[in-house]
Amino acid sequence: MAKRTTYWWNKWTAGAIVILLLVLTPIFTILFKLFDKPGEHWRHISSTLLPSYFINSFLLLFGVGVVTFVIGVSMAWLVSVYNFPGRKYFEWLLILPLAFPSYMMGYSYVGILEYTGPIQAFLRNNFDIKFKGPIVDIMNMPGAIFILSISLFPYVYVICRASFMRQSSAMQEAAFLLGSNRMQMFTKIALPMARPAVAGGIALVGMEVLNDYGTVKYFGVDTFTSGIFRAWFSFGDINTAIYLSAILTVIVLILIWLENFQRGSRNWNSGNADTKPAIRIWPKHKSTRWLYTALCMIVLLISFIFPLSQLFYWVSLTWRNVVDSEFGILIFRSFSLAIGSALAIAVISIFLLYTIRLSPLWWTKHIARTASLGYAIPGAVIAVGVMIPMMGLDRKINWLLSDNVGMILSGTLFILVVAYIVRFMAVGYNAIDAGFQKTGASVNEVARSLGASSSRTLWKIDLPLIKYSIAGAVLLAFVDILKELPLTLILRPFNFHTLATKAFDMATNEMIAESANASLVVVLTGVIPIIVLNNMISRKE
Amino acid sequence: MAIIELNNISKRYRKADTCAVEDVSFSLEKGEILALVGESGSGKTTLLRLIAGLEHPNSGIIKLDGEVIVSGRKSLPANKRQTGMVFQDYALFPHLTIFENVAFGLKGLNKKEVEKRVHETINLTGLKEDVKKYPHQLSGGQQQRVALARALAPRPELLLMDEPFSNLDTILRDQVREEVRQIIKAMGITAILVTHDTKDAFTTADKIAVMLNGKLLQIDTPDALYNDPNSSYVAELFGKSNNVVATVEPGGFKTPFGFVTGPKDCPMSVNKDKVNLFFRAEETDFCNAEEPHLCGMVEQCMYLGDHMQLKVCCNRCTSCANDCEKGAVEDTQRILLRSSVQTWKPGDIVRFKLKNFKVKETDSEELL
Repeated sequence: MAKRTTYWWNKWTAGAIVILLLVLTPIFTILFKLFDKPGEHWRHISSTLLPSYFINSFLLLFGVGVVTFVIGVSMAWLVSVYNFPGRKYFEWLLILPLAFPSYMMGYSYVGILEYTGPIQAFLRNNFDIKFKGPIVDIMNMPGAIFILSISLFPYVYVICRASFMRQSSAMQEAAFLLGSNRMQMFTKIALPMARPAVAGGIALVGMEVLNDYGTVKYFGVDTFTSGIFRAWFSFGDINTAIYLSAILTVIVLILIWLENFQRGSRNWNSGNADTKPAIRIWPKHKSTRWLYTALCMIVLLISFIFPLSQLFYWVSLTWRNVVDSEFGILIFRSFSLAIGSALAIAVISIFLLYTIRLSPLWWTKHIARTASLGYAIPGAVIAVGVMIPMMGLDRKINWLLSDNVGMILSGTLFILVVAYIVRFMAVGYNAIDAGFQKTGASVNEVARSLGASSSRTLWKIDLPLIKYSIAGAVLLAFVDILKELPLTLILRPFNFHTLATKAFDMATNEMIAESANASLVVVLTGVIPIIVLNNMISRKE
Repeated sequence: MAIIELNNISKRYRKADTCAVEDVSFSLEKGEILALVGESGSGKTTLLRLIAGLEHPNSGIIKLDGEVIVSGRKSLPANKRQTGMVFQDYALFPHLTIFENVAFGLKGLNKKEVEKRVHETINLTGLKEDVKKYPHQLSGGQQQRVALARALAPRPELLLMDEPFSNLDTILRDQVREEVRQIIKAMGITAILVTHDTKDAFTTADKIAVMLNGKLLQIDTPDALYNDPNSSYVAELFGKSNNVVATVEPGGFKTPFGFVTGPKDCPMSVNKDKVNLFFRAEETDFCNAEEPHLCGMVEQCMYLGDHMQLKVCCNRCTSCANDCEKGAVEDTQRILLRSSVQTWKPGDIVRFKLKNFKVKETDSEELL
């Protein structure tokens, strides 16, 4: 008879502990530094710049929160309750702005509105109307709010739409029979029921706003993230950068806590999985139908089609000068780095999730979840958090080898991959988790009761069953990594560029039209998973 | 020798106020089929998972074939226990064919032996489908057979089945139940099945264990459970039963429905004034007014196809010679009777005799 072993300890648990320690190191590093002495420029920054960092960050959070709420919720309500011409397409077209990194959206709009832009050219040539400078100056706070909102509202839209769709038709019918009209149904039933979802979406938007560097830098709005960059690059004061990062992390953690707190133990969606979604109604008047179509179209035009057209226009002007073998290498490097990191994320996520699946201990799930905390932490903070322990390690290695091998960890792509894993773990983790949830635990249990070891069960049963989820996870993480800017800017090896940093670099160096080439590659790549995932979903329907 | 033995097994899930399984002990001989019966949440599935090694108990010892497999923090992993398991939803591997599903648990056999064993087992379960098909191409009943074949193929010492028949429709269910019992018996395997359906338990099992709120109430043969339940819960579970308060009198018992003559071997050692008479709804005969009888008034009749269930209250009847009025007590008692005659209507007077009844002391009413 085989040996009895301690029931919860096995190689999976051991591996998971190691992974978690590695992934959580940067976050802990930052939080511990909060109790350290701040750097030499701290006094200067805290007295002169800190108040404006606070005010700007909160104004931005608030403004973008309100605007994304209005656009996201209203679009979600339109497409999930009404039927109108083109609804089927708008349903997924409205997700497309997610493919547009905010900073690239910003460059496009500056181009659209400037003197040489299409609007002014059109007005000038046809009506002889002339402006001095741009039509509207968007290089300011309201401009930044506008840009961030139109590129981030899909977070609210997607989550909210899913929530509206999950609400059962029976509930709406009950409300109807009790005498509610559409508006009351929205304000009294649908929206309150979707509240946890809406708040979740806005929390995501908030995290993205705090993460953003490209847009605020270009628009000259000083936020915490730009403060970290200033401390790091302009003052060369690492300790101050860490201190700012720590404050920002605390703000984010409060945001997460608020979101969890408002959610509480609420689960307002009917537990029954196969509730029939409500039947969409055609508005009575034809004009109303077209009004809804027009509304969706306007949002789509502003948030995706106009800025994309601007990119295409710029590319048509500049591609001869920009697209060469070097540009090809840039794409290749950028893609390989993103794919490699995405694969690493998938492998680690599978390892953690499989450990949870096997573990008989309830808290494994909660501990493993912290691995995905990185998604909430701004990229600049993670960069700083990864950099510090890596530089420490490098010093140790050099001392041990008593040879100057250089910065073999912190000065190479290795550190970038580690940082991507920490930052985007949640993307892969959630997608693969969904796969595991769908497969259910019983196939795994039955395989083990038939005598298969846990590793054999993973290879033969679980992995083949979740292969699409794994592909989805890699795809999503890949696109997110490709778009990533602040973290890459801080950690990239000297003279190494990704598409994102190249676009940023060119745009900030007055080569905005040229930067469109790199931007266009990023945006079009970002569109792919949206179309793929949409196809997968509609095939299921 | 006992093939499986549980000693004082308790399991408490996190955040649960009560134990899912509390201090359960029993053992099972080789070749026996045990049915764990109870309502949902009674802990029967948890108990099954503890035996399979999918959960770990907070305390207690489990022995399989004489070896301790669970004790304290140490436990034999599920994949080394050699127990076959059939899940409620069958949990067939959707990406593997029937053949691959059944062959999954076979180890240390060459290709020919595997093929032989798979076909042998599939034939045993009576599945006549092409083994190259995938699970989704099969009907519910066929999937059930594949799940059973997969669990049986490695010839486990112990077969565990979680609600194996609950996903089958009524007609198929009767047939499959029969077959499963035959297969298990033919292979001489020990089996434990979890069910909430007493009919499943009666038709398949040699022994039945009744669970309530994580506790094992009674474990016995179906016959003993039916005729001598140790609690009113167990009695209720296996059919309609009645519990009538009676006072002890010379030669019998006085009940609200009339006088019941005591059986010859009546335990008249009962030194209580009041006792409970326990009898099942079908353990009565209807009779006419001439014979000594009990009587009451039909309060409600329920048509149930092959028979009718009557709810009878102890309304005093004046029409009969029998002196039943005296039986009337303060509060009205109600009993359930089963009648094959289907012409009853509320208000009718029912006259009946008890064919069989048990005398229980009133103090044991808590239990009863």
